[in-house]
Amino acid sequence: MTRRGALELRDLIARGDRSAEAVCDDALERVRRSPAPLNAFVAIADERARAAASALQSHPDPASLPLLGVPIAVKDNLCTRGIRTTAGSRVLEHYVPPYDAAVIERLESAGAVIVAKTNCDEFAMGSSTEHSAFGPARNPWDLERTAGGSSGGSAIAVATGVVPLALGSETGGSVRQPAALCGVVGVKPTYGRISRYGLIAFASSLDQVGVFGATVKDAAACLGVLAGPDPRDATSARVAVDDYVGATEQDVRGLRIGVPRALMADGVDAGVRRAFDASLDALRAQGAILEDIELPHSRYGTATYAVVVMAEASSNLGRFDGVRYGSRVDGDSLADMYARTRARFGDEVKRRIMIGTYVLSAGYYEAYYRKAQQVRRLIRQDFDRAFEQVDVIATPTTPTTAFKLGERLQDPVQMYLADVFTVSANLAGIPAISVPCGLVEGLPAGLQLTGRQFGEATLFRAAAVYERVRPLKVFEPPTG
Amino acid sequence: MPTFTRDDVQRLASLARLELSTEETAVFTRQLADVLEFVRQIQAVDTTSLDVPASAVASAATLREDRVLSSLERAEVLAASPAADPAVGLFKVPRVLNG
Repeated sequence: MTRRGALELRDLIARGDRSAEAVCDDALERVRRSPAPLNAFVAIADERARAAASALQSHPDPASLPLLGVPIAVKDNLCTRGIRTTAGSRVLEHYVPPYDAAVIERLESAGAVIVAKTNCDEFAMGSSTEHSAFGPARNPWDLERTAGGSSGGSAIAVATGVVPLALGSETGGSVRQPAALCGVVGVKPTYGRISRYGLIAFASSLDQVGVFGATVKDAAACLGVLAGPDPRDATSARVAVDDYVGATEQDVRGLRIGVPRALMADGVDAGVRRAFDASLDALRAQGAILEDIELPHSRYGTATYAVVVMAEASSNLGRFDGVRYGSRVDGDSLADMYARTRARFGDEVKRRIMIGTYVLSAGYYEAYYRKAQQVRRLIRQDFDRAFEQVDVIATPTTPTTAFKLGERLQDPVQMYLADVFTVSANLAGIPAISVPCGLVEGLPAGLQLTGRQFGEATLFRAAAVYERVRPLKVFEPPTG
Repeated sequence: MPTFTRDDVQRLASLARLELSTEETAVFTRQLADVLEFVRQIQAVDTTSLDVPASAVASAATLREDRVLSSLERAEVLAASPAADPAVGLFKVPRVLNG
């Protein structure tokens, strides 16, 4: 079957060449046929998808809908009314939300059709989608390897052509990293760009909804639909939404791209480095100006991130106590019931809750949590300074291509290092995009571009130019 | 460097209301020590120029009108609970007070 992009599908339906219902049925069929070893999907939204597609047939002005009939898969930590939402956790194995996340409402108002929920690390904690109660997802380029995480299922859904767009969430790279490892576009917008109402909270000063797309333009169109303020999320920003799709048509002449050479001095795989350097050459050939920059504190990003994220997680996950939602394991007393119910969390979640509890406890708060907040501020100041000099900052998205499943499961610190280039954007609250930049021994690598707060349009502009001139045009994995 | 014992892990688990098996306690004792050793590197950063913690957002607090809006249906919310009494409209928990 020919793969069609989101905007291409939208145009076909708007012209009357295909019906939204037929497009929806095709997508549902692709979800059902998705190879079991990939383990990308945890629920099919048959009924809801068909009802949504059918309602579009009688819409008074379908051509006005920016995502008319576009099938979309969403990460299972986004609440969907009437459809089980687990966040990959046994604790929420029976949870059926009584409401939709804001992004779900926005997608459907724009004509999109939600066809499936995707596999993820439990409560989005992980970089490999191995910490899921549904079992690990696998990389469609090599089934022995990780698809990345935590939004692994959404990355696979787009990489294998099941859907042209998918939603994930980001706390430290959970969209960009799997996008890079699976060969698709992944966008983490500015903190506050998208409402998080209905996103199951993990680390609230970092969490943000993100977009996977087969192309930069499709991802841009989707972000345009999702972006904007929402009174139900006090952190959502009242900042005008730029024309992201229009930005993908512009050139990069005179665009200044900063390259933090020192940050990439160690630990970057030689093949990933070559792919990255070639992508910079391609952008320079299009008129971009490359400049060396310094981000001296970003080398502390992963450690800073770990402290902040675990502290916030230990607090946020206090709500899973077996009372208001999710499952309960009975006990002799209230405290006993809590402890037994929460024993159903997976290992990574337990580790993070305990370390978070530690770094927030009396005697350690100053040395860990307060210190991390200060380093976070220094990381952000480095970016502020760099953006006085350049418009965009480029790094590889990940230091290596997809690693083997199981390889880092018993070594949490190694797992955290997969996020070394992505966490700083979350700590600084700024936007970033990952675009596939080649294959290294048959596995995709990603070019990451990071921008100023609310500077998503500039990222789409540069990413789209690179996508047009990239030697490898199509990233289609062998499985799927 | 922080040394971590099984008792430390048990104490944290108890604070966080997590029941751990003996095997989990053993594995976590090693892993939590590894993670704390890893994050300790931030203590080498000179932060003397800073006085207040960072925030990801620089936006000012905004005010809105105080209006009554519809909320979720009580019956639907209670239906998501593992133990609720929808007829009375309450979540149920084990006995808290003895006697």
